[in-house]
Amino acid sequence: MLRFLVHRIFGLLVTMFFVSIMVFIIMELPPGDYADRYAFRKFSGTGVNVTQGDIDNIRHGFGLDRPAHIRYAQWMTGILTRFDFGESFAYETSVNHVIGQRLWMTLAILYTTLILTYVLSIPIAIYAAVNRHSSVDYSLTVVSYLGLALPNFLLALVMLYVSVTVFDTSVGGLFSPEYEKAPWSLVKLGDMLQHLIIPAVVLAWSATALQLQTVRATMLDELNKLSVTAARARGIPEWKVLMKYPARLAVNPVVSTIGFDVNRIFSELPIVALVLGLPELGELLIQSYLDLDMYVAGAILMMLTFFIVIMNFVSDVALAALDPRIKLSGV
Amino acid sequence: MKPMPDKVPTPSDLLIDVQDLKVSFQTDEGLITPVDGVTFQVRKGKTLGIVGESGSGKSVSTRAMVKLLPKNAIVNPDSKILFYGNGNGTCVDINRLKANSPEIRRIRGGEIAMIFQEPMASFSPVYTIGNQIVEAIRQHRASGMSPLASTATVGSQIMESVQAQKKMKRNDARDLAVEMLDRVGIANPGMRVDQYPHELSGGMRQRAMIAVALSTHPKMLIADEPTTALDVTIQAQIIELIRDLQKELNMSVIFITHDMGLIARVADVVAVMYLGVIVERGRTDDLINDPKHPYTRGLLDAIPRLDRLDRRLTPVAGDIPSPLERPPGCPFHPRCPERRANLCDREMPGRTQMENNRFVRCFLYA
Repeated sequence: MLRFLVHRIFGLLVTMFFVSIMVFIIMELPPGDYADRYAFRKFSGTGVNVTQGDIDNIRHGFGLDRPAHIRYAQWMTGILTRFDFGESFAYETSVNHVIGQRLWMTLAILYTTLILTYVLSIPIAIYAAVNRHSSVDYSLTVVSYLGLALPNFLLALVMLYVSVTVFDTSVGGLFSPEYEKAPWSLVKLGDMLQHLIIPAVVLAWSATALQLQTVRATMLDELNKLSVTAARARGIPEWKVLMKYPARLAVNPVVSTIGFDVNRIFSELPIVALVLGLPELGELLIQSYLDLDMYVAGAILMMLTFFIVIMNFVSDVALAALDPRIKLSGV
Repeated sequence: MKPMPDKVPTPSDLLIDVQDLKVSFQTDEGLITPVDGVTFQVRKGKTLGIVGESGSGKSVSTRAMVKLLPKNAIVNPDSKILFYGNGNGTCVDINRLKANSPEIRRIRGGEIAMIFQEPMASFSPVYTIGNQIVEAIRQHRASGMSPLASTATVGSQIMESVQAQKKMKRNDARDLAVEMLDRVGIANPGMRVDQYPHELSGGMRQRAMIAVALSTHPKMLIADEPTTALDVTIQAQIIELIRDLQKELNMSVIFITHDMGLIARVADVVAVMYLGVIVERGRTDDLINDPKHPYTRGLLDAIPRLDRLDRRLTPVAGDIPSPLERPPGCPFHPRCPERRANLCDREMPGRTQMENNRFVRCFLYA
């Protein structure tokens, strides 16, 4: 197990190294840079004639005139040694400061969504598989097809409407106005969770629908295995047979796709966040790209990829813990 | 091997008495009846061999004996499965026990253990061999019991639930598991107990499966084609092992196979099944040396014999029909070389009793 862990951690580091290079290349890809954008913003309409020399000066001021590999090395050194993601040009402050709260927001939504997805899908799917052709089983099929078919933003709008008209709660944003500036307390945490629940439900909806089908199908497969019959033949109580043998294996496909789920949540989050007015990373990513605020964009890309890679790592390790056959072939 | 003369069984001698067992399945294509009125007895310490092709209902009959059938199975409520497990002449009708009730679970695994055709698939791949033996031991055996204690001491009152007694400690159960693995001939059992099924060879897995089954000291072992997936040499070792343990534990065995040659070596009594019916039943010697039913003869002609190498093997012609297209009359008549028109295809032959507690279902002897 230790060898396996070391091996996987090494793999994770190598992946992150290549990710950082790719992120930096992506940061370099858009035509122009923030110096052009800055000059345009500052002087357009003022009648001042901007020369190439002026722009070069601005570029030098931002440090953008140095060669790409030097800037990459400086950027990475800052991240690795001081956890400093550089300067945001547009906000004229550090990237860490710009991203800060949005990062926590994004992570809060991510983990709430994941937990909600698994807490709902795994037990319901197992129940449906055990009670095949029951009413729960059939309604599950209907609900999960709905989940796969409904677009997220539409669901977000509907939930927004329902929660405002029926429950009279403030949605949108992370906190109710009265807690926005308040210091952290249990009440504020509760308020935050209340605001998290709608984006989490919207994002968990399709993931749950998919996982329901996966777990149910695997569970049905596993239920027919001879090892389950053999366990019953040993006189083990039925619920114990179900939990110990098929259910444990039915969770495997869920565990192995945690990384995919994270990935999908990150891709769907910006649109949902836009509809619900949540300050999260995806929205900032798009904005910073439009502004050519490259260090912010790069930092966000790094963060999101980092969490996908981390969750893939978690999923690998969890799977190896769940299934002893994996350790042999996994290294 | 010289089996004892097969006396008419008496209750004190009987372990299980299955009367008119009928099992049907509700399927999408309709109702099928893979077991249609099967009657047999197993005596204490003896081996009943059930022979038949795939689909003859061998496995379904034995699974019905421990209520291990899928949910869509319907066992005729008039069928009786009398189990004389408590040693005082009284019996339990297993067919009247509720599925998954504590009583049936106590019999299943505790009194009647099973081993299956595929030793790899019989073990869950994600738990160690030891884990699965310990599970069985702790389910059925109270603390303070030796691995192969005599029948009388191992909780013989069927109705008394093991849960009421104190469960064996995990460490004791583990020690017992190691002893069992040693007993079934697995070398280095202390290491093997912590290994996963995929780390064992096929023969070793079947030995381990026997260790799981016998760790609870059952009165009966149902061996459902236990050697079909194994090499011939390993097969011989496993058969030998089952016979040794059977003698040692004074255990009854139901041995299911499609291999007539194998049955001759293991069984005291043989029942030949075809499409859910026992077509012939008798002492192994009688049945092998003088087969009466055309199907039994067909099966015997299909096995190679060292003393008759010049002879070509003759398979039983045709295939076993689908259970949805059960032939009327005698189920074997479409494949029977000696069928009689207007008789075999119309009526089901009754049982013709013969000497040595033998019977055959065929109009040739009616």
